[in-house]
Amino acid sequence: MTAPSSASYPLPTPSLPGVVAAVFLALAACSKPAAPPELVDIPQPALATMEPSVASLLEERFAAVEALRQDPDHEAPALAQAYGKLGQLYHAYQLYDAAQAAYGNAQTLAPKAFPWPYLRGNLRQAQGDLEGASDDYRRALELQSDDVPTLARLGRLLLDRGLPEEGEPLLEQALKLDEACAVAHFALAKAASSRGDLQTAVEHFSTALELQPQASIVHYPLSQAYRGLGNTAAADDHLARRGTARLDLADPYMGEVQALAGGTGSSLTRGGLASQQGLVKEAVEEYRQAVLADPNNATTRRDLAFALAQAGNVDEAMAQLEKTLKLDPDNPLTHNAFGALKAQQGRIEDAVPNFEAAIRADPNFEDALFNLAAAEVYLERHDAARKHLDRVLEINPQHPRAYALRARSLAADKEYEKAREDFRKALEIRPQDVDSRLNLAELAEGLGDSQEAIAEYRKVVAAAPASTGRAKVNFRLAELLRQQKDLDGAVDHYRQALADDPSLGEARFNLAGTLGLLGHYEEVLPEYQLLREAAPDNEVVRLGEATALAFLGRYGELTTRLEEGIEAIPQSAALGLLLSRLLSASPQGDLRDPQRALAIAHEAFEALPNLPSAETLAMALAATGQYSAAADQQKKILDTVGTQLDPKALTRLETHLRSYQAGEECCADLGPGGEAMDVLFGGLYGRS
Amino acid sequence: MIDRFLALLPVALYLVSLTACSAPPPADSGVSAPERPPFVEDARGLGVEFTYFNGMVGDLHFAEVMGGGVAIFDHDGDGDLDLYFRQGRMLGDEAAEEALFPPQGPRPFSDRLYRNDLDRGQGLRFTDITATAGLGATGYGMGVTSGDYDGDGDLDLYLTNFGPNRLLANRGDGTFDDVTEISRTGDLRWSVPAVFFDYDRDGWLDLYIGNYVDLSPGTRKECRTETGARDYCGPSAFNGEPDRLLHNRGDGTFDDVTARAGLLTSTGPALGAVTIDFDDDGWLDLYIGNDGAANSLFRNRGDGTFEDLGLAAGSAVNADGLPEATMGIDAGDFDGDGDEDLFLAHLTRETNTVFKNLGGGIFLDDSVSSGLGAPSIEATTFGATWLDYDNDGWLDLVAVNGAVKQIESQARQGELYPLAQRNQLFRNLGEGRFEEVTQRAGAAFQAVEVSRGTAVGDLDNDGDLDLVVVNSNGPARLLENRVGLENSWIGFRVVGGERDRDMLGAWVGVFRPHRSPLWKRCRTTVSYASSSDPRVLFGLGKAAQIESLVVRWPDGTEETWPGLEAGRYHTLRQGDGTPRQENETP
Repeated sequence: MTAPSSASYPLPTPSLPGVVAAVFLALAACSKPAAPPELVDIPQPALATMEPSVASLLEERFAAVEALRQDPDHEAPALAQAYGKLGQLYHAYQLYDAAQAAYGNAQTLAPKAFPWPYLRGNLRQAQGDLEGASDDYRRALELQSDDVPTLARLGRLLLDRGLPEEGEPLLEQALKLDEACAVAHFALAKAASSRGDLQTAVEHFSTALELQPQASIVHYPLSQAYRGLGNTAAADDHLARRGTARLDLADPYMGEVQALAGGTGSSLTRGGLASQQGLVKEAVEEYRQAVLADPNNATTRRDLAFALAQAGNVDEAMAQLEKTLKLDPDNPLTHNAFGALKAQQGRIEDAVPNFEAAIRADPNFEDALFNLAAAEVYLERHDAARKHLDRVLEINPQHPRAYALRARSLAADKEYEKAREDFRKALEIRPQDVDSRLNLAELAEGLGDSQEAIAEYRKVVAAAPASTGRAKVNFRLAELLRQQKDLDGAVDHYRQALADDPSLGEARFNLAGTLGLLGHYEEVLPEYQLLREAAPDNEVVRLGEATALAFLGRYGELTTRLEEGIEAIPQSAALGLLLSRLLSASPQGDLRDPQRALAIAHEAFEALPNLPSAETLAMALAATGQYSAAADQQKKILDTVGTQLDPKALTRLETHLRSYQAGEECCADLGPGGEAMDVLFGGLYGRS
Repeated sequence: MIDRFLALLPVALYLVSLTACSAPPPADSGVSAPERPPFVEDARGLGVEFTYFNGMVGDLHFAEVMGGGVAIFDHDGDGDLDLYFRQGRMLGDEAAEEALFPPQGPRPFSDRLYRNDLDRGQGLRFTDITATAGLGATGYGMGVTSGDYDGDGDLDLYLTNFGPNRLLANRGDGTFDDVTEISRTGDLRWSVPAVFFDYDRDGWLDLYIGNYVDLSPGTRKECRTETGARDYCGPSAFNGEPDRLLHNRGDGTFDDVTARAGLLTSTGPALGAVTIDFDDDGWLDLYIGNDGAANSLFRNRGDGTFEDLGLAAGSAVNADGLPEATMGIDAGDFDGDGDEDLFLAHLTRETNTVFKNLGGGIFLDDSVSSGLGAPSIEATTFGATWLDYDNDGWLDLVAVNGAVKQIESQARQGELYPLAQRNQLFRNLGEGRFEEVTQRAGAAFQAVEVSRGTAVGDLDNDGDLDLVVVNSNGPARLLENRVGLENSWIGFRVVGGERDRDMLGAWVGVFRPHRSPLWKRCRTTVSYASSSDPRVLFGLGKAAQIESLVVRWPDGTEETWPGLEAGRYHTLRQGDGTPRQENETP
């Protein structure tokens, strides 16, 4: 039988003997013969455009029904069944007009059979003919009033038509017959929600979810109902769990329809849809069915390979691609995919011939050209890579990844300005490409263009999710801002970095330092505390914390921290010197202990005689009243290193020398935040 | 398709006239007496002969199903509304003659500008002045929006394309300059909606561009039906493209502030966009309709940044929690409670969706109760807009339809572009419910075509809203309103700045005796890919006057005016009214 090209098959005219026989039979059956049922033509779909296996299937089934219809001995129930099954087949392939006619004929021939009006109701509902579907479902219920799927579908449909007074009783009835009918609970919940009865809605939604926990679709309306009730926590919880998995309805007749759609074309379509929706397992299964049905179809096999690759089954995907290439050796898509999978496995060099084969078959194959270029960049064949990328951009001037890849290639060849231009073009086309933006920011930073670097880093942190290393980008941004003297901005980004990754010690340390520069010493302390707890033997952290405490005038706490520090890091000369200076000259008199200060200073000076220890020793000597010895010590310092000191340090040393010579101790009159801090710490580390 | 329509038209009119001449039905028959059709279509008779040419050659290119839009705006400042149609072109290298629907109209293909000659005393009549206006954009046209971005008192145009976008600056003398490069408003991606709005209240219109999917020339996709037959792909076959927000610097240039504004997450395939102040905080928010992905409700935080509250506010997905294929959208106060509700146009087998604003930043999917959901399930609606076509004070709705997947019965009949559907008209019954009046809306609503963009405006300045509909591979339709004048009305042009710039975003309230106030926003971007009259027109029912009116300006200030004369348009200038204190009743 050849594929029909006309809109519909005319019903064949019965041969004369058949007509005569029928007339005699009818006359014999009764004196007033019943009119034969009026059957409608089945509108024939355009078979020529379909997958051949599907077209053949439809053609065969239609021919079988026609043959039965023309059989003078056929019985109406059998023909009804045949039309019904044919309708299910069309239904499965979404050939709605043909399916509707077939179901109609089935119903005409067997008006007491339940499945046909029920299925036609489904069909009409899918077509959007809600009124027609309602009529069909009602007819089905006349024949089988306790059918739960019909009650549930009709009930829900009536709600959708704005007829809750008719729909809700049907749904209640469905629940009486099957209290586990989640679809009925869901529909009743929606009805309750519409009329503002949110508590009832919550109860029904929750029940539906208990019955079918996988139906993530329920979470969203449930969250909205909770929000309406003011239960924000429950609303947010369910909102976060929302999804698109629907409720199942046990439905043997529709199950048959779905099972029928098993041909190659349908499997391909469903496979494609599943793949697009990220349902990779389902996609693989659909494509497997298609391959089984048509094992020599290269396209089908390649689609299976793509789905397998998507599902992470690379080995089998490659095996399928090899078979595909045997069936269709020059196919560019297959070569390109094969190369891509090889590249994914790290076999970059092996992938190149495949990409080249794809390009030979189709010189304008943009994806293959791009993939080849990517491989060449990896293999550091930059000239070749850029030649192919130029070609990609010739074909498609809007290819953002080609610009980005060319930029990376140019950067690898140290052509930074050109690379920057390409990154900019890539981002103009695809602003959400965070990697390219980060690269551009780094490049700009490397080129000393802090303004562009800052601007781009800002965009990166605005766009990148926390899981993608945003903390480090925030840190880089903060560092740049600090260099640009935007200390508030730096603090903000150090904090953002730490919010994403609290273990980023360098960010915390520099945050503390920057806060110190801003004079926010109270905010500095918690940061140093966290750093100290994470690294108790880090001298620099303890010195930073000590600095902040000193600036805040919290000398008692400072003494305690220095004592703890010396215990944790006994070898730290700096901490010892600080403690000695504090014990010598603390503005808080009760903390002074000149004798201990002198002992510590002596010990430090003997261990490492340098400017800080020498100055500290002089300070301690003065504190114990040994002004002459202090003056001698200070003079020695000036004689030894005076010419090498910066003017500020020189002034300080000379001032203190005069104090000692006048019989005065150093620094006791200086309060927190002033020069005392320079004396205590400045000579060692400076304020920052 | 044109021939088919022309062949049907006389028959339809004949049937209508037969009905009209027959005796009225008995009072208890349940059949309403025939009504006067609210609209009469006569684009050709009025001088508008435009056919959107989609360049299809039979390879089922995704872009060819989308179609274009139209702008209704006063391009030459003569006080009447002109028409600007977007045009398609060939998608590949083939000659135009190879297209399945050979091109209609003048060559080369370009957008067309039709001047309204109403002011020349000849009644409503249009003249194609594309060439003299310095226009002739030849990209593959999608959307258009109008707004006075440079504050010089005339409306400029932003054109979105399947390809590079364009900004056309109105010189003020009826001609335009392409200022895309200098203004830095270009975008190479496939864009459809664009919105001018002043999000930061600096007095300059900024620009939001909604981008669709990545359909670059090398993309290879073949989509199939259940039977394995080729069919058009849907957006899920491609990657969505990110939208952009461009900040107007006030010197003729724009900065891309997408990232700074927190909008880089807006990567859904956008087909619709509309401004709305959903939380009534005085800052303009944005609602973005995505095709097959959750929609976004970007709340303007007032500090230059936005946050997407779509899901939490109940407006991102339908009542079942499912994203739908949103095309055209519009915002309007359909239930008269003083806040803006949303209408979203969707695919066949999805309902169109109404999100009713409950206040407090929460929306309810009201598609079923409103009566707008169920009748739409068989249709794929692209353009859709609220309009009070009968001036009774309640917003009605028009939905223009055309499928994106081949319709079985039409394909079987050998139609080359088997996507045609009937447009729909819904009348607001005033209780939050609508009735479909398509069947009695006259011949204009009986045609079966592939409609895409639609825009509204009072083309003949007579006080009721007319419609323009763009059809893909078919003639554009101009539907002149014939029933609005049965009720009273008042209209406003809302302007500000030194040169009377249309104040897009202004929220205008009309207070009536013994009735709740009516509210409308001054906006151009509505529906699908289209731009409507920025003036606001209020139907007043049988009321002969208004008590007062209020304007909340885009900068957040409010002014009141005393009762103004009904039955005419007034110009409201910022600064001319009386400053209004918070919560003060005018």
